[in-house]
Amino acid sequence: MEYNLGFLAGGILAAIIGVIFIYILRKYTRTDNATKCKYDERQQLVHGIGFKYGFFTFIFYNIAAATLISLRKKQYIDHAALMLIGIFISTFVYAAFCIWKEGYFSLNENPKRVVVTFAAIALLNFGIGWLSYLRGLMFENGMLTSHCVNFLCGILIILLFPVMAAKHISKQKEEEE
Amino acid sequence: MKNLRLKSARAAMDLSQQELANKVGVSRQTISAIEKGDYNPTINLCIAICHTVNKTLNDLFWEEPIE
Repeated sequence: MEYNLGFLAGGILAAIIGVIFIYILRKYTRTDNATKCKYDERQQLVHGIGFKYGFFTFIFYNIAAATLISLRKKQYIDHAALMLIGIFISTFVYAAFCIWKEGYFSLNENPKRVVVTFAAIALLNFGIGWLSYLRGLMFENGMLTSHCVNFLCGILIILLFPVMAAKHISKQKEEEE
Repeated sequence: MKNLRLKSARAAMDLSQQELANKVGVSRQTISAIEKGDYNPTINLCIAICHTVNKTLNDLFWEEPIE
């Protein structure tokens, strides 16, 4: 009973901290006080195409993963981690496409502040991932477990930085022309 | 196909891409894409642009069919 109450209290506290954290992040990254991101019609179109690419990436990834599982006797990644990797790869495809097509940052967002926030979130995730690794949760019986989620999240964000940098450079070149 | 008519109408109003974008509520990249012919705007956006630069839809967006 006490354990359940503690669990409930912890959950509520985490939810409250999460809401405050999101509120502060929004205040920091937005250029107005709007609660929602504003995208124009071209950006919404880019999101749709990006989502399609992300979706098909996830489908192909699952087919490839299922084929590999059926072919190999020893498994190095558990099913939950395998699913998470697929989600992160497809999310990366979606985000990278939107960044490249200039549909990622909304009209009421400050891109520089978003990048700073991304860096902070990546660091936080790497920190939590490192703790999971130290506690021996990331690998069990030689298998990567779902505790790699934070580490994967950090990698996903880090991989988006070169895309942003490449886009920034190509945009500058375009403006010079 | 590049939309040079929009570019010249914008320049005639002494508006930058960013200023026009702010007036019609889109991103600068969207205006740039329209001018470069990379994006076909919706009729609503075409009308908003026309109102801002004091032009008609025919002036900026109508193209005679190529025979």
